Amino acid sequence: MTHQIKLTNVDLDYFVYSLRSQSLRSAVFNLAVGGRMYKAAGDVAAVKALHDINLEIVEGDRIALVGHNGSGKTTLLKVIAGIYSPTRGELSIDGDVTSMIAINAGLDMEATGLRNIHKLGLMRRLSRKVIDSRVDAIAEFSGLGDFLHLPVRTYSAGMLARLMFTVATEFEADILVLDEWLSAGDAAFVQKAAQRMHRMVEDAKIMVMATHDHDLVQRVCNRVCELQGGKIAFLGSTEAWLAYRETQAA
Amino acid sequence: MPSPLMAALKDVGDGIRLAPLWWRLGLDQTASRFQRSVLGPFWMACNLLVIAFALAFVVSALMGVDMMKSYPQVVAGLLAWSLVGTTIAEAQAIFLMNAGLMQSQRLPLSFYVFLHAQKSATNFLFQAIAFWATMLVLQRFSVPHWTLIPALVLIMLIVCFQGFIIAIPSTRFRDVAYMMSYVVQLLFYVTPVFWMTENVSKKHRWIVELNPFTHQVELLRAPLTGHAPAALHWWWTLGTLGVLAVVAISLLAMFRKRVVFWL
Repeated sequence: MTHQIKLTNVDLDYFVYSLRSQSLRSAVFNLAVGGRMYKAAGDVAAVKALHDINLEIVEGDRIALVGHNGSGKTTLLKVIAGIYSPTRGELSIDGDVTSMIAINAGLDMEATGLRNIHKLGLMRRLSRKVIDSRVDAIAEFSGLGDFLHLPVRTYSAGMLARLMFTVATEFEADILVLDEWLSAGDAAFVQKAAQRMHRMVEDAKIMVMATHDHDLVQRVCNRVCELQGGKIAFLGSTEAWLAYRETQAA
Repeated sequence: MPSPLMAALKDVGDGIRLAPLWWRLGLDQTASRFQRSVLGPFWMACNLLVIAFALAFVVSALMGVDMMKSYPQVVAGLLAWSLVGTTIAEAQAIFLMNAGLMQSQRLPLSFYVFLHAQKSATNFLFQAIAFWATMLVLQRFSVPHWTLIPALVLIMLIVCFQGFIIAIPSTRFRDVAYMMSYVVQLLFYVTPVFWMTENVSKKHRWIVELNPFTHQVELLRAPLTGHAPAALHWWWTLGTLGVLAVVAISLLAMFRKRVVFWL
C-alpha cells in the first residue's frame, strides 16, 4: 500500500468566537503576524488561516513546514492530521496518521511515564502485549530510564519531548505529524532523533514537521514548504530552499 | 462529496467501531480519578446512600410515610437519576474536557460521547452494587427484574443522544454549560425521584405524567426494586429516544466540522 497526502486548493477559515471582532479588526493592523482577518457575523471573527494550499506529499518525504509565527504552520499540520476539515478544497490522506502536535496531548500529568506510555499506545489501538514489548526500547532510546516511574508532571520540557518523540516513533505509523516541540530536547537527543527520522524513510514513511530550527531542517528534511500569511511562499527541495533563502536575504 | 447527513452517520459508525478504545479509556479515567483513594468509586456510592437517607427522612416526616418503606424507593430513584438526570449536567463538558485530545488526534465526535456514556455506566454499576448490598443488610432486598437489561439499553441510548444535544451547544455557547446544572436541579425537583407520585394531588398529576423524566426514572426504578415497569413508561421512553435521535443526528450533521473550532 502506498501512502500519500494530497491537498488541492485547500482553504481554511478559522473562527474565533466570543471576541469583539470589531476591536479585533482594529488590532489586526498592529499585529506583526500573518493571517488575514475579516469580519464574520456577530461576535465572530474569521481568520483566513490557509489560502489555496496545493501540496502533495509522497512516500519517503520528510517535509518541513517553516514560516513566521502565525503563518499557518500548525493549522496546516492539523489539516494534514485530519483534525480540521478544510473550509473549501479537497484533502485526501492514505495511511495511518500519528499526530504529535501538542507536547502534552493525551498525557495524564499525574500518572507515571510508564503509565502514560501505555495510555499513548492505547490511543494508538495497540494491544497491551505490543505495548509491553516496547517499553524497554522506549526507556532506552528516550534515556529516561528510571524517571519513567515518576509522575509526568515532574518532567522538564526536554524530558517530555524525549518521551513524546520516542513513543511517537516507536509505535509504527505510516504518517508522522510533529509540531515544533522537538527542539525542546537537548543537542544529543535531537541528533539521535534526526538519525531515527532518517531511518523511518527507508520504511517508506511520511513525516511532516513544523519547525523554526533551520539546522534541524537541513539535517532531517528533504523537502521544505515555507508558508507566508497562510499561503505557500516556497515549496521544493531543501537545497533549493537554502538557495531561495539566500536570494530573500539579499 | 458525502452529504452532511451521511458524514454524521459515518461519525457515529466510526465511534462505534472504536468501542475497544473508549471502553478501556473510560475504565482508565475512572481508575485514575479515584487514584490514591481507598474506597475509589464506592465514594460515589456512599454519597448516594447518605443523600437518599437524608431525603427519605425528610419525606417520611413531611408526608407521613414509613421510612423503611420509602428508603429503598428513594435510593433506587436516585440511582436511576444518576443516569437519567446527572448525565445531562455532565454532558456539557464532553468536548470541553477533551479539548487537548480533540486538537491533537483525529477521532470522531461520537467517540467522546460514547466515552462519557461508558463512564456514566461504570459509575451506575458501582452504585447499583452498593444499593443491592444495602438492601440486603436492611432485609429489603428483592431480586432485580429481568427488564432491567432492556431498560438500561434504552436509557444508555438516550444518554448518548442527549450527550450530543447538550455538548454541541455547550461548546459553542459557554452560558449553556453553566445553565445546565441549574436546569438539572430544577428537573430533579419536578420529577418523582425522592417523592412519590401517589402523594401529588390529582390537580397537579399532569406535571408528573407529561414529564418524560418521570417515565425514564420509573423504567429503571421498577426493575431495580424487583418488578416490571408499566407499559406506559416503555412507550414514553421509546418516543423520547426517537425524538432525541433525530435532533442529535441533525445537530451532528450541521455542526460536526465546527465543534473543534469552538474549543
